[in-house]
Amino acid sequence: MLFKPQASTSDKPKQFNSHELERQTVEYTDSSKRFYQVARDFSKQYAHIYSARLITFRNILTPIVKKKWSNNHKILKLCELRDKGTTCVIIGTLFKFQELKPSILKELSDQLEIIPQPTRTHFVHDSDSLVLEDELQRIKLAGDCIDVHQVVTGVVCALLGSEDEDGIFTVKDVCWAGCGIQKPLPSISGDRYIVLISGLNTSQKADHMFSMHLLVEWLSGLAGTNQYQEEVSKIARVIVAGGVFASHSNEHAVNEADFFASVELMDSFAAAVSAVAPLDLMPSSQDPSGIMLPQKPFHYCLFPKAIEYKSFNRVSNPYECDIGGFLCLGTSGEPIKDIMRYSKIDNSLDVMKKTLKWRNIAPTCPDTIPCTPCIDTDPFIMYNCPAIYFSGNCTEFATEIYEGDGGQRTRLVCIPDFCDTQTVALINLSNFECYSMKFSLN
Amino acid sequence: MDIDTYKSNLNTVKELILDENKIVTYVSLSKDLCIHVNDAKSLLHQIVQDIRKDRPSTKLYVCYIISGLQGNNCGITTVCTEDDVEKIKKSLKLVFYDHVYCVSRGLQAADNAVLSSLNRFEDLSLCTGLIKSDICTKRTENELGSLISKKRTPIVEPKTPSIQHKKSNEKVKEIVKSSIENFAKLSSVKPEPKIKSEPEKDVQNNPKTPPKNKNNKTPPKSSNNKPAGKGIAGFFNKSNGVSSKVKSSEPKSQTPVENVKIKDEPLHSNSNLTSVEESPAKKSKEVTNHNKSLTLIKKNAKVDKKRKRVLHVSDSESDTEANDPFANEMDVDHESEDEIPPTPTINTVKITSGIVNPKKRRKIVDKTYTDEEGYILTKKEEVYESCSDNEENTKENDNEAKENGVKEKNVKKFESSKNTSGNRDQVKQTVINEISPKQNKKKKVSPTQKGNQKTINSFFKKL
Repeated sequence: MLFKPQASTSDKPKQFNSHELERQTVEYTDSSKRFYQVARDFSKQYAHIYSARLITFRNILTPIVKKKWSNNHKILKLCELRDKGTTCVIIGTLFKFQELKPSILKELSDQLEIIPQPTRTHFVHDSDSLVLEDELQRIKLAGDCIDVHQVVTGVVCALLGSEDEDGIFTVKDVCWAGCGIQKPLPSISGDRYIVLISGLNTSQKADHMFSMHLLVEWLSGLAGTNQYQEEVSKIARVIVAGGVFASHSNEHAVNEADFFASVELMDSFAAAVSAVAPLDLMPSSQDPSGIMLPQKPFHYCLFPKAIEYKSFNRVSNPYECDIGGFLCLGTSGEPIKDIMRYSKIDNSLDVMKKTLKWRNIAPTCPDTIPCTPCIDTDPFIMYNCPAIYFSGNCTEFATEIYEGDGGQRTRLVCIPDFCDTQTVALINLSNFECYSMKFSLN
Repeated sequence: MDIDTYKSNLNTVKELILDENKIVTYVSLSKDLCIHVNDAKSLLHQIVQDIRKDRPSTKLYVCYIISGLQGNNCGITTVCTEDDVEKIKKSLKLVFYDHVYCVSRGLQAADNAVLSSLNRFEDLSLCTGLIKSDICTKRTENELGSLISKKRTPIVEPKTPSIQHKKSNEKVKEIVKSSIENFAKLSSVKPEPKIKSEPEKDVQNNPKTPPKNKNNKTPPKSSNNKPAGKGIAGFFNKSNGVSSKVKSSEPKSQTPVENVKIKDEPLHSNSNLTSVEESPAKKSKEVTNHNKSLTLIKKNAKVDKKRKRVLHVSDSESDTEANDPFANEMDVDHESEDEIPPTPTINTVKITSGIVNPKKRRKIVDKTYTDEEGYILTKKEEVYESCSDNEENTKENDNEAKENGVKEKNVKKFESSKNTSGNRDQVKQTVINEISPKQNKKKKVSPTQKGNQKTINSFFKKL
C-alpha cells in the first residue's frame, strides 16, 4: 500500500490503534571487500591501474569480440599493426585529448601571463580527439562509429577497423564490454523496500532540517495509520549515498563550527535511524573520509551514538552489497558527475547506462577523479551485473530499468540531493519498482 | 488506555496548549506522556475538537500531516495548515493518510525552524510505537572495544622509510652474519649444556630458548629487529654507531677480558661453571644472579632504544657501566660498523675460566690498529689485569665470585638475546617482575657519577 494506488485507504476508516510492529528483515551481505582492501601504497604510479584494467578487459572482451565479429579478424596489439589497410581488431584504453581539460601546468603558465581563466564546469570542446592506447603505444582514432563526445578517458573497448597510411586507425565498429553476467533475480513474496538517501548535508542548516525530522518519523513508523505503519515496517534497509556532512554541489567551504555541529547532528540522525532500521552510510568527496576513491568508511569516532547499534554500518564509496539476493552497487555520484563534465552526456541516467555498458563504475579514475594508486586490480570494474545500480548526489530523482544484451535487468536510480529536494528513493524488491518520497513543509 | 488515564492525559495536554502556550506534536506527546504514537494522534484530534467545542473563542493553530501519491511514482509527505488540507488532498492522486501533526494556541504560523526544534532525533527513541528491526540492538562494550581495535588496519608503508631502515638492516645483517659464524663455532666447539648446568630452573628455561632459536638462526632475529629499528630506535641505532666509535676504547678493554677466557678454555666450560658455582655462596647467590642477569637482559633488550643515553653513562668512566654486558653490545655494534668481525659472542660464554684467581686475570685484549692503507686491523694481545675495578663495584652487594657468576650469566644471556633477538621479548616478559631491584641499584650508581645524566636516566626509568 505504501505506493500502490489500488490499496486506497480513503474509503477505509482511519485506524489509530496502539499496536506493536516489527520491521521485516532481508538477508544482507556486504560485498565491498574489493573497495575496503584496495592497496593504499602511495609510492606507486597510477599506470598500474590502467594496466590492470586493460588486462582484465582483454580477458573480458576477447570472447565478446569473437562472438560479435566472429573469428574473421585477428585481435592484435598495437605493436603488431603492420599491414596497412587490413581490417583487424585492437583492444585498448581510450584516451581523450581535451583542449579545455584543466592542467596545472597550463594554469601556471597562464597565471604568469596574467590571462584570466574562465571557471568552467564542462571541459568539452569540438576539437577533442581520441586515441587508443595499450601497454606499449597509442594510435589515433578516426571514424564516425565512435563519437568522441559520448566517451571518456579510461574506457576500455575493442575496435574493428584498419590502420591507414598516416598511422590513423579508422574505426568501423566498436565493441563494449557490456554489463556482465547477472545473478538471476530472486522473487520475494511480500513487499520489501530499500530506502536510498543522499546529500543530507547536515552542515548546511536550512529548510531541510524539518524534512529530516519527517523522514526519521516516517522511517520509524510513527506517522500514518495502522495500515500505513504496517507497510512502513517493510522498509528493510536504508542506504545513505554520500553528501552526509557536506554536499558536493557545495562550492563554498564549510566553516569549522558548522561542521562540528553537523557531526553531532548527523550522529543523532544516524543513531535514530539505526535504532529502527539497518543503515549503511557511505561517504562522498566532501565528507571527512579522504577524497580518493574508493573512499574508506567513516571513522567510528564521528558517530559515538550511532556506533552503539549493530545495525549501523559505515561503508565504502563505491559500495556493493547483496540485499535479499539483489546485488546493489552504487557510488556517491562523483564518477557520474565527472563523466558529465568531460563528455556531452548530460543526463545522469544516461551516464549510468554508459558505465554499465563500459562495465566500469568510474572509468575516469584516476585521470580526473582522485583515486588510490591500486596496483594489481582495478576495483572499479563491475565483475557482476548489479540488480540495483544507484548514484548519489544527483540533481533530481530519476529511475529506469536498464536491459542488457544478455537479458540483464538493472534498476538504475539517481538519488537526488536531500538538502535541495527533500526527496528520497524507495525500491520495492518484490516488483523491482522504484518511487520517490518527498518530505516537506507546505 | 483506561478512561481515567485518558482523561488525565487530555487535561494535561489542554494545560500544555492553553496555559503554557506550547506547541504540542504527536511525537512530543507520545514521549512526554509515554503513550503510543497512535494514541497521541487520537488524543490530539480529540483535544482540538474539545477545545473548539468548549472554547470557540480560543484560536487554535493546527497542523496536519498528509501523505499521498502525486503521480509518476512520486510520493509526498507534507505538513500543512488546516486550511490547506483539503487543497492538498485534492491535488493528490491518492492519499495514504492524514492526521494532526501539531497543535498550538494562537495564530502564528509554525515555520521550519520552530517545528524542527520541537523534537530532537534523540527523543524519537523514547516514543512508543517505533517499528524496530530485530537486528537494531546495541553492541556490548566488548564488541565496541573490538571494533576500535579492529579498525586499526595496517597501512602499506611507503618505501622511503625502509631505505633508512635498510641501512640499519645491513648493520644488523653484519652482526647476524658474524653471530651465525660464531654460533656455528660455538656449537661445534663449546657444548651448550654448560648453560643447562646452572641449577636455576628459570634460568634453565631461558637459556634453553636460545638454542632453539639458533636452529632457526637469524631470520627471526632480523625480522624481529625490524620493527624496533624502524622508529626512534632505528634512529638511535644509527647514531649509536657513531657515538660508539668515539668511546670505543674503554669498553673494548673490557670485552676482550671476556674474550680471553673463552678462547683459553673453550672445552672446559662445564667444569668451570661448576667451579664457579661451588666457590661462591651458592643458592642465594644464584637467585640474585638470576635476577641480575635477567634484569641486565632486560636492559639489553631495551638498549636499542636507550643506548644512546646509556652510552654517556658509560663514558663517565665507571666500571660498573663498562662491566655491564651492554657495553659489549656497544662494542659489537662498533665492530660491525667497522667491519671487524665481532668476537664477543664466543668470548663471553667462557668468562668463568679466569675466575680461578679473582684478583688477577689474564686477558686477551683486542687492540685495533689502522695500518698504512687505512685498513683496520685487530690484534689480540695478552695482558694481565687486576679485577679490582670490578670488585669494587660489585662488592657492595655481592662478593666477587658472585659477580663473576652474574657476569657470566649476563653475558650468556646477552649473547643469546643478541643472536636471537626474537627471544628478547620473551625474556623481557619473563623478567618484568624482577626488573625493579636492579633498576634501583642502577639509579643509585648513575646519579652519583654525573649530575646531567641523572635527569636523563630518571626520565627513562619512568618510561
